[in-house]
Amino acid sequence: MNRVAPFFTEALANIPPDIKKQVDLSMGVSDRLADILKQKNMTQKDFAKAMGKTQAEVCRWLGGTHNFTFSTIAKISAFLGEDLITIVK
Amino acid sequence: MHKEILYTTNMAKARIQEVAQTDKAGLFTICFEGESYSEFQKFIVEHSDAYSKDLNIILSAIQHMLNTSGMLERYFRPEGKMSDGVCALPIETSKLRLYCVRVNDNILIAGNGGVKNTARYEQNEKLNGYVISLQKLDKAIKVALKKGTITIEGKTIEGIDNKNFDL
Repeated sequence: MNRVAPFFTEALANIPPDIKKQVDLSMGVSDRLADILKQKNMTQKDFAKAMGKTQAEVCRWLGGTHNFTFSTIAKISAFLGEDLITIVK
Repeated sequence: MHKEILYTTNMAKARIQEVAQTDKAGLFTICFEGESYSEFQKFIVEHSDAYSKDLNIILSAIQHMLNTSGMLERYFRPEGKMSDGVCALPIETSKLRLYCVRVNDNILIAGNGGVKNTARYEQNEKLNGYVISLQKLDKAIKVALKKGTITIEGKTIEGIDNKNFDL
């Protein structure tokens, strides 16, 4: 970061690595989903309807801190024809 | 060097303090006159023991926004009125809420927050106070922008170091 107040630097340094990794993953998946919907010109409303979900649920998916199950990730990926996540082999 | 913008309200004087600045976004907070800690700082200190996991999730999310995505609207839940930029940064697994003013996709002003055990924040005196403060701040910012006494320059708020604002 270019400039950071000391209290914030300290707070960020105290975040356990597993929490940071968890949030990086959930926000990464959320961002990837948003990008795919944008590429496909699909609104949240249309996506929710097509997936048989409520708009509120899709909002949670896109909110950044949702704890996705593999089942949900697989369903979304299959529906959109795009991988939300990839596994390094 | 951290920038500060001073303004006054009928009820209290406060200033906007810079917390972090990156190539993607700027994070600010609010500090009331006479207080040593800013509102965001108080939020962190108050919840660092009993709600440490939830707090760390919120902080990690803000860090991601600063480093990667910016302060996108979909990360926040609208609070306050439709006409203001007051919002909450919620996390699904907890009732801990951080209230903010989202100025745009690149600038966030973090206020205070707490555990929301009621259906609406208005039903909690402490949380209601935090939201009202941010609503006043949002209004003050809009007036100052219209007058040209402060400006938004990219990912930061510019223009008025050591200047008072009267509401």
